[in-house]
Amino acid sequence: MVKTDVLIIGAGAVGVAIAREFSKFRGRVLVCDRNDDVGGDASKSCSGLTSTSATMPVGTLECKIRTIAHTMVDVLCRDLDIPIIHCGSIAPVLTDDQMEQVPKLLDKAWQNGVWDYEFMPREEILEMEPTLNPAIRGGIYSPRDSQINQFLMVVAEAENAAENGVEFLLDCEVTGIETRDGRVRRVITTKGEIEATWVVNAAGLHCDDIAKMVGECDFAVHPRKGEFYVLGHDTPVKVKHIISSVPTPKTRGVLVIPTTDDNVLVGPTADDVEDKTDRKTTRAGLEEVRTKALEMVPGLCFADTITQFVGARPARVPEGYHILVSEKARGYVGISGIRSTGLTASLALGKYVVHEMRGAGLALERKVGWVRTRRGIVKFAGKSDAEKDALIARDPLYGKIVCRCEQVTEAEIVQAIRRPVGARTLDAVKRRVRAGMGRCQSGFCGPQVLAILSRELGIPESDVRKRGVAAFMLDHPTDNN
Amino acid sequence: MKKTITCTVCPRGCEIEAEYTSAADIAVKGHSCPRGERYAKDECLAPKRVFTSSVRIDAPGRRMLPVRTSAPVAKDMLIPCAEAAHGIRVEGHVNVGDVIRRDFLGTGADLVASMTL
Amino acid sequence: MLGMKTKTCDVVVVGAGPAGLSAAEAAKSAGAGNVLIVERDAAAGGILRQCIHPGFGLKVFGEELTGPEYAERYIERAAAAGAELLTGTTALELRDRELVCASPSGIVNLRFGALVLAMGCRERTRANLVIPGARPSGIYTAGTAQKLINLFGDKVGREVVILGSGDIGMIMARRLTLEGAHVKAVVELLPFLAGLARNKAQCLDDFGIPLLLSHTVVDIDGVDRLTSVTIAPVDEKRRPIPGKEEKIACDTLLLSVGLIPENELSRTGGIALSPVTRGPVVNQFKQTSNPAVFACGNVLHVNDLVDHVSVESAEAGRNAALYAAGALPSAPAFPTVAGPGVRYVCPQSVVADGGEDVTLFFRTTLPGRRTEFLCTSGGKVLATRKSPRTSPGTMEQLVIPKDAVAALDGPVEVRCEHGEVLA
Repeated sequence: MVKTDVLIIGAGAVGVAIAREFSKFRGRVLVCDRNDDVGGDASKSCSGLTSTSATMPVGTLECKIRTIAHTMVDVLCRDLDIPIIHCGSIAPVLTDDQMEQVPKLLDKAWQNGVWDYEFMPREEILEMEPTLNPAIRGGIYSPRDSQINQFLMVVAEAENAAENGVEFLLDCEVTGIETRDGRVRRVITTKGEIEATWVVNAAGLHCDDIAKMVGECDFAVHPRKGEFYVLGHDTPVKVKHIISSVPTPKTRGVLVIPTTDDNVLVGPTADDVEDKTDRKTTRAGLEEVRTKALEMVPGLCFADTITQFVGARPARVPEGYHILVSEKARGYVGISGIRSTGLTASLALGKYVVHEMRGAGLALERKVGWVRTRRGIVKFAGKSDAEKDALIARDPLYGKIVCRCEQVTEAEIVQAIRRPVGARTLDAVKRRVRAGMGRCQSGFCGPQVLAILSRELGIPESDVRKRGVAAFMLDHPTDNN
Repeated sequence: MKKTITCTVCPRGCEIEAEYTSAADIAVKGHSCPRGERYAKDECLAPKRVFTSSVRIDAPGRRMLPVRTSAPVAKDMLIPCAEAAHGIRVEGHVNVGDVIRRDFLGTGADLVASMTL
Repeated sequence: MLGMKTKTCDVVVVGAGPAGLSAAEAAKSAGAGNVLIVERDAAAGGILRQCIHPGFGLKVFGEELTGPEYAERYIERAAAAGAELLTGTTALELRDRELVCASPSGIVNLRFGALVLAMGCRERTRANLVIPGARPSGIYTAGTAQKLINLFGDKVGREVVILGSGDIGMIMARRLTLEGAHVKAVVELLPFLAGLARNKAQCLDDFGIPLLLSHTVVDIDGVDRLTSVTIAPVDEKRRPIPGKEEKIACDTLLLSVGLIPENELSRTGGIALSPVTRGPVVNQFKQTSNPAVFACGNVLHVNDLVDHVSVESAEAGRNAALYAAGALPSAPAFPTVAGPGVRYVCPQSVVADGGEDVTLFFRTTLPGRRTEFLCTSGGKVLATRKSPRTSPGTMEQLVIPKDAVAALDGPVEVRCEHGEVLA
């Protein structure tokens, strides 16, 4: 039986941010997740936008947390070596209806303290972003909206938390929580039982399932599916700013995003579905993204698509951020309603949740020697000849190019696997170092990455997974179909 | 009997019409070369194919050795050949053309290495 | 730059597959002093190493060889000619007269008199087709599955559907069947076969594998591993017909939906590419927009037969050697034009130099019978040929006699007239 002071369920952006906050203090902290990797469901497949609170519902907890969080992003990126681009966003105004929305949007932004959110005339906008539809009437410019590598953000926080003593239990699904005498006692998982003083439910899409286990569930969560396209580096039309639809209360609509890796990300849709496992792209959804994006940026070249994917944001009914420090099941903390705004919000949520728990009696003592910073894996691609030569001299595996599309070397792949909270699947390697993220979609490097994973993890190739519990790359002896 | 045969001798893929009553009496038309004619006649009586596969090898940096039969074998022997190839393990240095199994499964053809390793 | 290596060569060849080996041999034989082949893999041979099936070499060697056998002959020929081979070395960037390469021993800058691009091609992926559905494991391009099975000795799956009737897909249908898998169907969007007819005969018909023309995959299911694909017939505009979907349970989907010349390195060097072939634009010398850079094999345009690659690449290698020696002829060049019924023509221009006959390679847009190919310039017929049967899967050629080449004074058009269209 494993014993811990704090067990965090869910290794998405929220769970990992809370874990990193806890890592500053003495005591054992465990993070478990049903997935094979950190990054959760929603966090790893969101748009990676970190924006101001301009469009947030005024006066809500969500708005408050988001506003504070946005000021913390840059320090986090500096401390943990997370790629971010400060590109700003533009919402092109195309129709009369949208034009009517503008004063309301500006007013709301003002109330939320986002005073640099402003409308700009057509000519000025087109000069800033010449790829936009020339038929625009103008646009709303939001200079402090940025684009972050959302997956590396979670990985960086997790690695830093791990270096500071947090333990990660992946491929570990919670199946039950035992309470006794009004306290949480024991958490039952697919990897055994865990005795925990505090249980923090940061399970995102599955937080209602976990909440039910302690009888603290007066809400439901369903996936809000978002379909995306990723266009390759060499696509001829690229945007300099994040281009977003004029926002509606439900969503920011379709975005055209310049990513930190120099791709163009286009999406998402926002479709409410019931099945929590549904990650299927649809003909209609992809067509919707294409049509809406082309209205804003007519030159986008969808023939340069390298992949399409689905992100699933947790949609809470009723909606709104909820942080519950339970009275009924003491020691249980439930976090729900953290929707697409949660990537940015997670930074402040870590602070907020720990603060609330202290308020409920959790005594924390600051650790000596907490490490604030972490460096990312040094990339080979994009370096000068001399820098590349020096990298190879230090580690000859930098001279073995495995992924030819993204010029990823074996050295980077090996580091991705060997680091704390390292990659154990092909998708996890891909998200960390981009092997297989290019135009051939791992056609060439897939077999090599498979062999490297097998070697580094000491498992047969048939046990190597693409992701998840049972998504084996090869034919697997346990498959029965 | 009448048969339409797509010739596999070369990439041209001629469509050959064959009409026959016995081995001695086969009329073919539509071929562009003598090899095609021979192929079509074989297809009527006893279709043959070159069998290829890869078998396990213990060699540094290599796991599989590509192999082939030295001559075409009866078509219905392809699956038995593939099953037998699964059990083959080769050790040490191999030159292209080295015989791995003589008269493989009694087909009359040898199983030979198609690469030097 | 201390410690970084530089080397000067007359001719550098990128890639030790069939194209590169043939080019290197020819360059050396044409008198180039030192010829160096740069290969990222640990061994030479390229994609042929995993093409263990027979069907190679009938034109060049007059006998039917497997891929590895064919490769081995060219490896020996290149070595015998005196070409040097640098394996485990990846070309990173092409500059004007310099190629930057990486290997575990460091960065090396290769200065060249002439360069031959011979990097081959890559497979089109699911994303290029926009197949909606889930993203489970069990979806491979045919070539990746071929590598896993033939080189790694891995088993990829048991119940298989193949999308696309390209040659590799059909060859993998046979290979998987021999390996004990059940290939349930080969599904082709077009109303005709994409690959060679003989591969349908010996890879599908031999094993009773159904070929479904004018069908496509419209949905993919599976949370972890693939569990099924849904196929549907398509109308004449290639749109799936609603209500006719059929779900096929399977754990593996192979994609054999076309090849794309691998020109990322060419792009770094600013080499002009054709939007149709997606390979460099060349003249009959296989010379690209950078006169010191030549291209051949599948990096130039996707070939049907390796024999064609070898022949074409030998020309590229020889011309590269001539260029490095300052001996490649120059004269006004005229564009080639893909006329009616022709998808593309390679080379894209012809230099009016009468030293040799010029072979134009091209592909038709539709399959047909009793087809006539015509090559004309300014109303003059330069070459013509009749063919009983033709298909887009086969690369066709016409030869312009050298006298006609020397007399060129305008664009050259190739067109194709079918007696009967088969689509």
